[in-house]
Amino acid sequence: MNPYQKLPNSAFWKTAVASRSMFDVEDIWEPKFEIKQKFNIATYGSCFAQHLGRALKDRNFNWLITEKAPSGLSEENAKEFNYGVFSSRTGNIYTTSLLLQWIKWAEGEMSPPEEVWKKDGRYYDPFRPAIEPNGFASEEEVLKSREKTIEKFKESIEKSVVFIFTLGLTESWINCEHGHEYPMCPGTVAGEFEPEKHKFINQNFNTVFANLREAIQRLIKLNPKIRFLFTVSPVPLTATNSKRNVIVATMASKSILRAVCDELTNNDNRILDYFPSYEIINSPVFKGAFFEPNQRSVNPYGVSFVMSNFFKCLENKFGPISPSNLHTKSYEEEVCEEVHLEAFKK
Amino acid sequence: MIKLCVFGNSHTAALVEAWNVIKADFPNFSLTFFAYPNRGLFDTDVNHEDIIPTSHHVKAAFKVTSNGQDSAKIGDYDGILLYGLLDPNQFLYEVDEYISDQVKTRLKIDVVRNELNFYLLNLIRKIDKNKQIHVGLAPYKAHRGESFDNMCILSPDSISPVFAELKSELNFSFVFQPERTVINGRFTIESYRNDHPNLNIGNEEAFKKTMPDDLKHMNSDYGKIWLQNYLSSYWN
Repeated sequence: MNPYQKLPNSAFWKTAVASRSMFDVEDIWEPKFEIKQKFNIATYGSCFAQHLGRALKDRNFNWLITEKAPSGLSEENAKEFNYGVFSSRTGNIYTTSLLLQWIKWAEGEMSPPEEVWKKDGRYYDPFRPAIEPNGFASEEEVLKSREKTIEKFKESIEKSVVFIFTLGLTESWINCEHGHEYPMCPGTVAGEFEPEKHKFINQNFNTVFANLREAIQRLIKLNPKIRFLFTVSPVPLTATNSKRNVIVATMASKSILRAVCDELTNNDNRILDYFPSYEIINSPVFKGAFFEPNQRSVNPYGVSFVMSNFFKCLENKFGPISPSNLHTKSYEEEVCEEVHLEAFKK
Repeated sequence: MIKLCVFGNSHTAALVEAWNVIKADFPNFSLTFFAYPNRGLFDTDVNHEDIIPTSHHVKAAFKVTSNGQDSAKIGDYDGILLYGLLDPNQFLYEVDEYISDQVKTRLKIDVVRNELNFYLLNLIRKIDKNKQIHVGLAPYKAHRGESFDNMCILSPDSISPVFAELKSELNFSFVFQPERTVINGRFTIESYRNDHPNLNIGNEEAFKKTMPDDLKHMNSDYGKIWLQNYLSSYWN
């Protein structure tokens, strides 16, 4: 008798992968805690996180939106103005340091800078540069709108039972005068790039880990009952400033993010869990079948496959999930500021 | 002879009563009314070149208000007036949450796009892309001693930009409330308020409920001023 003899089929490549169709791969995740449909669930993070929120809503889970679109605004306009994309209108939070920055603003420990970007007579929020198409009408609007989002971000933390965060990038842009981080390099969506002021930092394992750990600690202070589910975005980088080939940079970044998640969740801590959407899309088992022809964007089948696995694994462990609204919903393309970098390719 | 077709709700009663009095002054005009209270005209649809009722009660009201017709043949008219179906008072509201000017504008368009006024406009445009269509806004509420402090002034100019997108899409013009009936930019002078239950245009019960303290509906004096202004300013 040895330890391998007691392991389930999912632990062996032959039974888990080789002897079945890739679409029949199962038991890819064993949830540490139950996510009940009635729980308030907040979602934030990189572009791919947007699919999670919508899938939760479609399956009758209580996706918590604290910054709601004004009543009467059409779904089309709500999406264009980034309502109902995440739990509040933070836009994409690509890095763990950006998450920490939003948390510090929410706690009031740090004030958000009054920095506002101007372009063609309109005003842009450096921390949510694509939150309003064509920017805002005035600087005052930018700051008021951001203030509202910070308030609603905090509310979403305080009210949520489960906080789902999708880690996206390690590459970041910092204002080295004041220390704050931008989600996008100044001068791309808006703003002006100033080499002496705007510094590129490709965060290493220790930095990403430390920031996420601190974020978790602070979130628990705001809401002691909160539980965490992390995912890593399977979407490759649009562009890298790391002076490496974008394939190499992508693999390095995603490996770091994946390792951080493992370090934090692969233990007995029952409030920290990881869902392997990254593996489902990127594993060679799936032969790249879930990517669009550009081999970057995840196609609707991929999103659907990931989310089906998510709910199937929950059901396997905790029992049936009540009927979904899936028949009324269709795939929606995510809102992703990072794709703006594509415009800068030579 | 200029033949006009008027679609409307209970506000139309003021015009109907007024038209009966002043039509002799406008011998070159013929007005035919198709009206039903509240949002009842949602029970309409397109059949070939006609706007037809899709419920018995709207059909009955069409017969009463148009003197015997149970559908409106759009091709028979030189112009269409949609009256009272768009309420300018709704543009005064402020939402509690902070939202940007861009979102406010989109919100207003989204809200009105789903309203009866634009439902009918779309139906008519399915039949005829070029027919002249005027949208006569419902009257402002009658003024009854409200303080003028901290009131925002609502001018026609403040409404039009909101609808620029819809106007270019559906090709229509607004007819605003005559200035002489307006007080403080956002109220109707109280003497034009309707104070008797005479608004029966097909559903008596619905109108009884609006009386006697009705600040929303105006009387035939108001209708007279409105129609005189409309026919002389928009059709001459």
